[in-house]
Amino acid sequence: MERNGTAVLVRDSGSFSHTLKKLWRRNRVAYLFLLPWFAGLLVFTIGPMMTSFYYSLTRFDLMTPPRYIGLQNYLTMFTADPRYIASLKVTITYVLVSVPLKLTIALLIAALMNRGLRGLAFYRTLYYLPTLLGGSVAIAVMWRKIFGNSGVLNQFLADAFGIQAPNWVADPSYALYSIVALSVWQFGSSMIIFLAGLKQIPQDYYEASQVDGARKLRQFFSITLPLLSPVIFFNLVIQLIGSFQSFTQAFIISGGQGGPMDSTLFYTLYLYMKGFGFYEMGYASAMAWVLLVIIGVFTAIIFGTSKYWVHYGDGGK
Amino acid sequence: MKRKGSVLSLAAMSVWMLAACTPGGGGSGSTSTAASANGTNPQPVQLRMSWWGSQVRHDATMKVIDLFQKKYPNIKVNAEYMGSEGYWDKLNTQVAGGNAPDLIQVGNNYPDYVAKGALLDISSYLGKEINMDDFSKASIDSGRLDGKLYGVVLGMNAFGVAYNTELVKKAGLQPPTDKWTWEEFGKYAGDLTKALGKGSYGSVDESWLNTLYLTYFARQDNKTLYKDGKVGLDKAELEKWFTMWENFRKEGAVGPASFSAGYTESPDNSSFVQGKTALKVIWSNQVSAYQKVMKDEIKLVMPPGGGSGAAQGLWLQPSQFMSVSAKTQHPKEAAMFISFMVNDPEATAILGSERGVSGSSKVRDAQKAKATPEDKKVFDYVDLVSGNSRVNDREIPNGGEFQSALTNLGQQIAFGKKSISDASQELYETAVKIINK
Amino acid sequence: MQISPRKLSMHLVILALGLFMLYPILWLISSSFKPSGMIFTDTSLWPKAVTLSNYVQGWAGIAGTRFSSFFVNSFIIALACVAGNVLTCSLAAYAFGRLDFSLKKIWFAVMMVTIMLPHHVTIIPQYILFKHLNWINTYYPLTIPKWLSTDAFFIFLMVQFIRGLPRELDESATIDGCGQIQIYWRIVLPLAMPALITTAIFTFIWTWDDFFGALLYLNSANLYTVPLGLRLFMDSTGDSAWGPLLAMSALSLVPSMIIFFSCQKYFVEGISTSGIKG
Repeated sequence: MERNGTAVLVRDSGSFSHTLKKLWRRNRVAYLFLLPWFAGLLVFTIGPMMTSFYYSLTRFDLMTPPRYIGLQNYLTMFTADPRYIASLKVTITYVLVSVPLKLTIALLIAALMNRGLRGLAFYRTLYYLPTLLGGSVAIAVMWRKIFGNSGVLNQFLADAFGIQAPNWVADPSYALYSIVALSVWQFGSSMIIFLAGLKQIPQDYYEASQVDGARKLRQFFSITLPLLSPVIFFNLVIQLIGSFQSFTQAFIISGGQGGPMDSTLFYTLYLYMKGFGFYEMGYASAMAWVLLVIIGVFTAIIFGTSKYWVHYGDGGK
Repeated sequence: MKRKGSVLSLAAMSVWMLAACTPGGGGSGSTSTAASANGTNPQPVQLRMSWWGSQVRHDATMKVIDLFQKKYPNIKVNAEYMGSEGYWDKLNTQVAGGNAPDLIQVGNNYPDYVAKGALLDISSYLGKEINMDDFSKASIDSGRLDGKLYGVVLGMNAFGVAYNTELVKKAGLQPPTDKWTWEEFGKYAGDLTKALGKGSYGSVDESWLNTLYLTYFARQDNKTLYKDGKVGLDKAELEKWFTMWENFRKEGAVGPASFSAGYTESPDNSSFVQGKTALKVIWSNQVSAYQKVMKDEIKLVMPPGGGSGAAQGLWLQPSQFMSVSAKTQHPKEAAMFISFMVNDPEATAILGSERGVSGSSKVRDAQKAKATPEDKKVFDYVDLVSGNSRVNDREIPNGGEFQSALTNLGQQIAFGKKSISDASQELYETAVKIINK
Repeated sequence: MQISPRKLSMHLVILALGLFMLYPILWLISSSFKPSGMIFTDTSLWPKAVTLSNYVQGWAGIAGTRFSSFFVNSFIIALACVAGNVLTCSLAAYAFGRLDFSLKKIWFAVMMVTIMLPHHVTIIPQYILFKHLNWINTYYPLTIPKWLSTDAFFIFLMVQFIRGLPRELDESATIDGCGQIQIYWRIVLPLAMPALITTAIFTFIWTWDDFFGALLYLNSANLYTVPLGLRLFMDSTGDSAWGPLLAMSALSLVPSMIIFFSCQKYFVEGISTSGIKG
């Protein structure tokens, strides 16, 4: 019996070590390249993520030890927290409006910037400037100068068209769109990524097609877009994730309140208020994990469709 | 496979939980304090001290620290100062991580930190390391909770109605006086609106801006927001408050919601600063902050009274406290620093009244003697209020959450999205909920 | 020199749009020269009165720490982060983009998930970790993680670029006897230069702008970065020094602008073509 067992073990470990060797040979280079990332994941990322998941099952006021309460946070969220539902609506509206708008504008401007125009270096910097301002202190003040009651935009509308426009920042039905405008206006990062992608398209492709007499517009659709698709895909996924997590713009414009009337109460803004302002880190963590699932579903859908429209130079392997 | 996964994550989690629960370590140098008791050759001690503020406060406080270190060469105070943005986030994180500074500047939200065991009871140092002989009893008590002392008050404030002298003059009205009722306030603001013309309004809409203004209103009816662990007012009181402001809105004393909601009413985003409103509630220690960013001169009068038979609503409000972390290794040295900060003639002269008017009569007299005309306005106003005030009530716990609900519901009423009755009910329930949290 | 009307109209369109883009910067610069009483009251772009005192006062710093020291600190951190991100994220991206290995899809999904969790809820556990490593009040929490490619955003970015490169290139290199490390270093990295530059620019600017991370981990003013230094002027509950704040805000944009302006020429040169030919 024992002897048999050992024999099995030996034989098993023999094939096991063989498989290991094979695995090692197949994987060592890749895993070597991934080593720093694995180390970072293990040391800095997994632990805090798991801890936050544990927090989501507790009542945790930050300063006294968390108390386990099971799924109660998750239940409260969907059954007894109208402000949570409001924040979810605000965020989804924001994502659906701002992502397509921002990406289209960024792509068009990037395509414009990619042509042989003089002074492009200057123009590129010009268009990137709003993004440089980022979440700086000055931007909230400045934004009201544009969208406020007697802001630049309304003065322009009144002078040019005689339109008495609403107070964009103060009106609950428009306040969200003034933040959409802010985010679209900071399209610089997406533009840069598109530009980098455009630069990577070998010029030979265009030269070859010019011989064919293809028109510019057709070139754009038949060469530029397909070859740029991995980068479009990247921008789409990242903008989606980023917009769901959008925080800074709403925070600085509403002074951290999400007003007027919770009309700019973004998901992560409410999460932050709950966690750090109301001392409910357990609830905030639960919110974070629900958001992770929501984003995950959206991202998975995009990844699922990618084989139909994303063309990789490596043949999609 | 599934099981294995969960065991693994459990293991990872427990390591993290362990880490979360281990106290102290790191941060403040943990040298022994024992030797300093002998008086001979005291051991070097390091303290960490954190506060928020702006340039004036940082410059002055650093000078005071230098002064203190010269006097007590064995104590080194490491300053950790910042702007107001993110201060509480950082403090919460530090407390959660067992790494709070020894000396912590806190506001009137300090009971939240007491409830979570983050602050040290310093009663036993009072009368020894901490000298508060010249402080009024009320000012000492403002740092007390259930008979224990958790902080030493750094200054006293009072709020008042600031008015823009130029706009009042332009409207052809007499300046407001300290004796006015809510009704007179509404009428005065309405007159201002009419005189100032399109796009300008008499007063800022204060209905949702500050929990304390609501508290002030309730106190005139002998109620208050929070008393003895319960909500100190009823739904009817909230309705009365919101109805009054709704009427002001109808009469044009304050702007419509679509105007008011566009401003957070801090100096960088204030209709008052931009000259679109002429009256606004501010704190006495904010006079210079507002004056600095405005062209027109501003003056302060007492907020409206409740009329005959009403109780006194005003109180002297502690601006900030200096507290000691519950986890400090050097409570005695921390206490010594606090005492130095609020008593030493040179130190208090440097600090001035930027954190509010001192609770110590001695310090106050010395500062008054050297006050600029601007500062004198503040001293005079606080003196006026101290003669027209009543002991303050404790602030509602988790006040940030109540404020957030007040803002949201107040705006719902103003935009006509919720009835006053429904919003008052909801606000009342919120107050009950957060007190019992 | 002749300019065709079509090109001229294009310039005009780009410039007109650009002016709208420029408005905030112009506002910031103009306000930084206004005396403090006029910053929020005088709304015109052209200041009615001009003063340099905001710059003088701001540059002199706060409580004995000069503002230049915030600049130096920010530079040190930003450069360390740029190097870390470019190097280690490109390593991981090469593995995901070009190599074949077991569990690849799962690891890739794990990497994506790390981007999706809102970071607010990992702040406390991370802080506790760094405290146990004794890293509080040092630059390690802000820089070391970048050397272990925790910014998965950039891995994903570079994966997309590397996958866009024609595979024939490294196939021919393999025939020439190149190992994976040589292919990574000699072929893929030069071809992915636009992505590397993008990573460098973004890392620099985002690190330069990072307020919250620096706020949590840095305690001593002599270690503070520019965003922390700027906030030292601001107290929403009391007195803010708006003039110096805006002046230093304007100044703090200069390094990012220089980095951007000097790096963006790499987009112009179109490295991909020259790479293929070489």
